[in-house]
Amino acid sequence: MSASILVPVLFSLLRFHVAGSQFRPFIWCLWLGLFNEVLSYLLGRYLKTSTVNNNIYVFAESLLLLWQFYRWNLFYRFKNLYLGIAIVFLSEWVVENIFFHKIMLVSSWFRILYSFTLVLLSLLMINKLLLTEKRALLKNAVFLCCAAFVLFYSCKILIEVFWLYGLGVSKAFRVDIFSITDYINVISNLLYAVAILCIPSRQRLTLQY
Amino acid sequence: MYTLSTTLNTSILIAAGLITVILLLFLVAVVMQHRRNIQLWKEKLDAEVRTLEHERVRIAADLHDDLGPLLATVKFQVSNLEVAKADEPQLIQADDRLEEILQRLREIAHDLMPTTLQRKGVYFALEELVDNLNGKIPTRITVHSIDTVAFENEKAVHLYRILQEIIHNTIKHAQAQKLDITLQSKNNMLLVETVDDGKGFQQTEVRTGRNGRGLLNLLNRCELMGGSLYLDSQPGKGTRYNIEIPV
Repeated sequence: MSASILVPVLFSLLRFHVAGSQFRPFIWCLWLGLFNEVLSYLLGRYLKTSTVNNNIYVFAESLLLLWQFYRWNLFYRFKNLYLGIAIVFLSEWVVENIFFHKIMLVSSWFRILYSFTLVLLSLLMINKLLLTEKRALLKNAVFLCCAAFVLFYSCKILIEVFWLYGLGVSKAFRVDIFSITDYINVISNLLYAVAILCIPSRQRLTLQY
Repeated sequence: MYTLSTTLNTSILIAAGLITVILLLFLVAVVMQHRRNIQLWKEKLDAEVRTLEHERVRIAADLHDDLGPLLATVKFQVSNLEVAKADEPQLIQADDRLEEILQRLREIAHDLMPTTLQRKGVYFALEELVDNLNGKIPTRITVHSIDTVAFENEKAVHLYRILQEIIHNTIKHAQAQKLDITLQSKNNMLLVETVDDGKGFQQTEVRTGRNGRGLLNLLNRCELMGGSLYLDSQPGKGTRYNIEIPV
């Protein structure tokens, strides 16, 4: 199921030059995701753990996607908010993974924090598109990306909460719960692939309100 | 008998499923509302632009058919007045002023709604506009039409207004030596390109809509025709507009 990331990565390679600077952080995030999947597979096979690289990956993912929202001009009136969120991400990740020595464990709090933030930012972006976009939303790459973010990260919050508060059940059960994200991951990756195909080859002029 | 794990697993699956369904419904509602918004916006915009164009036609007609002949009559009467030799220079001056006013009235009426646009179409109207401007302004404007197709009246007016706005923006802001306009039909699309060698501008400022209604009018008219507008400009490197309009 994790191999489904190959689809958007392949499309992003084909459309990299068309995508322009507006979608670069998202595309880099996809490539990083593929790299992390491969690395996780290898580390899981030979070292029986892939927690450390996953903790580092989610941090990089959070910053890349935050940057992506910046590139989409979501923060054009609130540049300080963008920096503030990045600092909060950095601080929380350092505190949880370094000061509390949890880099060898899944840093669920950070995952919940950045997932929640990304869902909020996606909803704000969708709201903005409702007002500014004059073409079909289902063919708008930004809308498709944000829809995928809302779906994926909302479920991720739910799963991480159950991972964090295992309710006293076995680890096997908690791993089973985590596998729900695989299905959501497939749907998200397909949406990302469609979004990449919908990236316009030329940037139409639009005016922001 | 269901264990705690199985029960919890089922509960979590149901919760995740419900969240997914709610989110999907939310997204569907967003898309449907957006379509409705766009339809209403287009109808409103269409009504506004139609009203604007009707008013322009009416005012142009009033100027040309009512005010014009009245002023022409006054000019005729003034030029036929018999006055003392000492007052002749003043009479000549008054006659000249009236001639200027008549000329300016014709220009204003023409700007509001060129008769060539209504009678011969957008390409002739555009060439007439450019011929009238060349020689009076520092910018040299050239128009090239390649395999162009005829447009219905409404689209012709929109296209004319778009090009009129671009020309006026170039004259007013760009300080350009030349402006090239190319119109070409290809694959059921009319492709319009305007390129000037003026001072250009920062696109980020324009894209945040802080620069007046001119560009907004351009965009609105493009949208009404179902077309797309592409802008390419950098400070010191001129400005290029590309417009694609379905025929």
